[in-house]
Amino acid sequence: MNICYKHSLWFAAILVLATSCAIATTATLKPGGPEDIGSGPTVLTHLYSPGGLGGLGYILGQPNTLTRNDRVLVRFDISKLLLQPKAAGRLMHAEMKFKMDGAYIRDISSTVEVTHLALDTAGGLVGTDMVREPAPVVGKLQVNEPKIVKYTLDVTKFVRSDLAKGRKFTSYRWRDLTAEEKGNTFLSPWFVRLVGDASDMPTLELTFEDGRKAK
Amino acid sequence: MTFKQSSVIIALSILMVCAITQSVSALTLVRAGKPQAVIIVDDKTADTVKRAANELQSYVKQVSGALLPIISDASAAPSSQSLIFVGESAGTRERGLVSTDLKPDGYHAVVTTKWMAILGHDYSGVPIYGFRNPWRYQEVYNEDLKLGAFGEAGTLYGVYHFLENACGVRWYMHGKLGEVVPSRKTITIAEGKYDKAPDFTYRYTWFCDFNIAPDEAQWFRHIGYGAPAPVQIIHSFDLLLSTRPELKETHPEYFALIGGQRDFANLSTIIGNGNLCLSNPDVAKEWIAYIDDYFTNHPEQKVFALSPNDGMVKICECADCQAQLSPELGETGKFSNYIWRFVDKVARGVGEKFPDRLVGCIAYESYNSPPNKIDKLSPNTAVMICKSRGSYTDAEYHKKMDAAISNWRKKTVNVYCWEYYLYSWPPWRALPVAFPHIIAQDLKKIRGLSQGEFIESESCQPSDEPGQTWGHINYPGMAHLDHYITARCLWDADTDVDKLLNEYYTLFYGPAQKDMKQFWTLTESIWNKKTDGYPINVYTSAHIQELNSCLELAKQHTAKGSVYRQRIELIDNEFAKGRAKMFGTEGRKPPVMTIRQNDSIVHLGSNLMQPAWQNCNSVGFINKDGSPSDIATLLYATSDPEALLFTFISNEPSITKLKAAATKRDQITRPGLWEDDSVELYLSPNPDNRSDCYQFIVNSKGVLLDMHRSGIAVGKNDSKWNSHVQTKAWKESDRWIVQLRIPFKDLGITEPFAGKKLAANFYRNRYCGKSATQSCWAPIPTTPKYSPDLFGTLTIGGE
Repeated sequence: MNICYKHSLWFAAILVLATSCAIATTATLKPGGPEDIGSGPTVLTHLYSPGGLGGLGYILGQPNTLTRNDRVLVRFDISKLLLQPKAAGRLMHAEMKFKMDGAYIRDISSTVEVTHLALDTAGGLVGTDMVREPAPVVGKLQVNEPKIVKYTLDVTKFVRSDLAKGRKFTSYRWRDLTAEEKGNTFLSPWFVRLVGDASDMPTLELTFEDGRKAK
Repeated sequence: MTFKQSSVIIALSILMVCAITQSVSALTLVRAGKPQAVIIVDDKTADTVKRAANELQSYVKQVSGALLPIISDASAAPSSQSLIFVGESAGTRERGLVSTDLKPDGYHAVVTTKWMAILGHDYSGVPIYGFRNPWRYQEVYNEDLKLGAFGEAGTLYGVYHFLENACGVRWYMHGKLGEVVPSRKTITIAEGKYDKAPDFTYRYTWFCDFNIAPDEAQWFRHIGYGAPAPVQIIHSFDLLLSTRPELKETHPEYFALIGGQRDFANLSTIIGNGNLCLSNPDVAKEWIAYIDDYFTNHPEQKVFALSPNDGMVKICECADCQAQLSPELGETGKFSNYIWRFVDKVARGVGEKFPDRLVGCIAYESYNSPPNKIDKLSPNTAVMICKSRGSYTDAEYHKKMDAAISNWRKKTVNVYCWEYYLYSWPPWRALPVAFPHIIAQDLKKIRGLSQGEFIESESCQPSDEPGQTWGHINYPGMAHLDHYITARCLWDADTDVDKLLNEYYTLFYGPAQKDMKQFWTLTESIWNKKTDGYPINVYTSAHIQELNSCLELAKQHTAKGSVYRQRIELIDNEFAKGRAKMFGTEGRKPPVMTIRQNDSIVHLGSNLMQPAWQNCNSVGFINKDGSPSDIATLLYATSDPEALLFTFISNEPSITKLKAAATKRDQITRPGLWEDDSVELYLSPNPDNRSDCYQFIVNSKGVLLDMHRSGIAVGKNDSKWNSHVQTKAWKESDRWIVQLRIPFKDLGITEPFAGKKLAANFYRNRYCGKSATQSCWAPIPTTPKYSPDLFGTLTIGGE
């Protein structure tokens, strides 16, 4: 695959790639700000925090002595892609990449579930989105090491669905199934963290068929 | 139903009929608005009896206009007047009436052609209150009203029932707005003799602080809540250390051994202050002495709590305690034999001196299941079973709780329930929750098994909301129905709940009864079908719309300012708050959008890949109430030196059904533009003067309607005003696109400088779906789309 030229810029980069038969355009999207990534307790959804929980960041599980069952929400703005017709049909592949830190999992392997929010979050991510159903499962991941690990999930069908519905955002939810099942039996912080530093946000990498022939 | 209860219903029915037909064998209290009777009440009677007489006088006056005098000496009454004896007095004793043969809170009512008497068990001692919340003095007694939650008040209940059945008074909600007081110029009741007592002795709902909320306190008694004394069964092990701190030094062996240390705090419980070593016989002796002392100093009390502190995850690790563990009973019963053996032992000790008092413990956490090594608990042991009938929509839970009550009943007759009606707290706050049929069915089922219940409602903790206060029913519109139904069924578990509900709809909502019946019936149906505990998954958009429609119709069917309208508005206002919370839109600020400035002129056209659109900002639309829209609409906005430019992309799964009947500019005669699938813009060039506003509607064929609104009032728009707006529209297979180019000059903007602000809102009017819907940029929970105060803000320039 050869990189031909830089096509446009937003949040990250869109590149047009030449393949043997067609031109493919790639785009890398990131959350645009605190309104696009946040976390909070599902037991008190009105305490959802855009931008995460104070100095702790984006928490899954129990960040204090209570059973809070915190979850994380992330969305990516795909509206620019909709300026061209039939964006969903042209989407070839979509991957979500992110890192998680298992430093607070207390010797227990946590199963983290990532789901797709099957709704339009154009009005903003809100606390009730942390519990709203349906939220089809994108994938389940094991977090069992106290260090930052990179994960990749194929989200093609979900992004394609959001593009087909003309939604401004494609949105996802993280939860720690193990922490939610056990509750806070430790009576102390016990959580997995989604890494969301300004320079290390979750990303959505998209590849489109451009419709043109490679030269 | 007992024979006596049957006779009550028959007698009351007769009273109702006779109030209308004026039977010959009847007593007339008021005729043509003139008093025909006097009320006789003993000077030295209980406060609740005096209250009964005063309320009888007050409500009869409100109903008929006649003021019945209150006197204490029957011989002073004019011979032409009938006599109404309220409470036991010399007059009732002369007539052979006494209240000693009644059940708790019961009353006799006797009506002859010359006199009537209502008398019951009436407590007249010092105010009754407990040792901690929810039974503290200020919570359960109002000094100004001289009214408390506890102490028998048979006469008071008798008078209330008389006012309901003979005068038609109802108390559906607290305060004046909750009352129904009909107009009857003549009040005549039939001869009869009957008595009544509640099916459940303990009927305490914790929805208000009596001292803070006098209206709610009076409603508590009006609808039949109350009890002879508090059933204080709650966490209490901490009492020992908090009242006798020296025990840490003098008897550390009283306390649980946890990890080699004595637990004076929270080594084994979440809420601490000392867990105990229950196998130590001296601990039982300490408690027996403690409780003996309490009952000696509090003869008005009937029950004392002996329960572990909250969140007990471990018991004492000494060998004798550990030997009492019951792992075979699972997580809900592994501590049961250990705890209940101790409670039983203390109860037997207390029973030697106070055989008529109870020692109670909660069935909770790992001592929830009945002990399997104790056949029968001491007769003076009581159990408080924690349950939530609102969760009986879960059949498995329902079955489990029925079994728990039945199994505990085999251990003791003193079974009480701790109920939870916490629906004014997150996540259900301000949302319609009602389960009247579950309430009626459950109380009918547990009558005879349970002595009654404590209902933990909304005053259990200070409100965390601005404007809401501690100790009140903060959402009476949503909460009153279940409280009312519960109170009525606690008195009579055979209550026909459908009949009661129909009467409620008729009397409380008048001309809107059908709409409100639909509202509450749908509310109950939604609750009964819920499958999880999150409102966002329980109330669908369709539910919300239907419930809103009921309230809108109800408002239309009632006169503005009428009591009916006020009740509906109360519910509607609460629901608006609940919806906003559910959708996360509460406190949401109006949206903002920055519009980039392009240096060169931007032309309309279907090539949206041109830089002006690629680099502009966009927003997505939501439903008017702030909830997510099922059908997406995107708005892209930009500007050039002369104009604002907008592109609306409206996704449309029913693209072949698009309505586009209007073909002429400014077509306001039918088929009007506003009935087409269209996009709509409101732009106020000056955010400080939003009534100066320009409105544009464009359908999917690009037909334009433009108006200049000079005032908020409908009809003050100028459709003859014409702008120089250009439009372009086209359809694709699954969406339609509209573009507008609006010259600044048309908006009166001479210099579109960077930082210039406009107030605005944008809509999509969709008519090709099953029903007409509107989505928008800035949510507007109100009906009119033209709501300038709720507009968002556009800022020209910048990123």
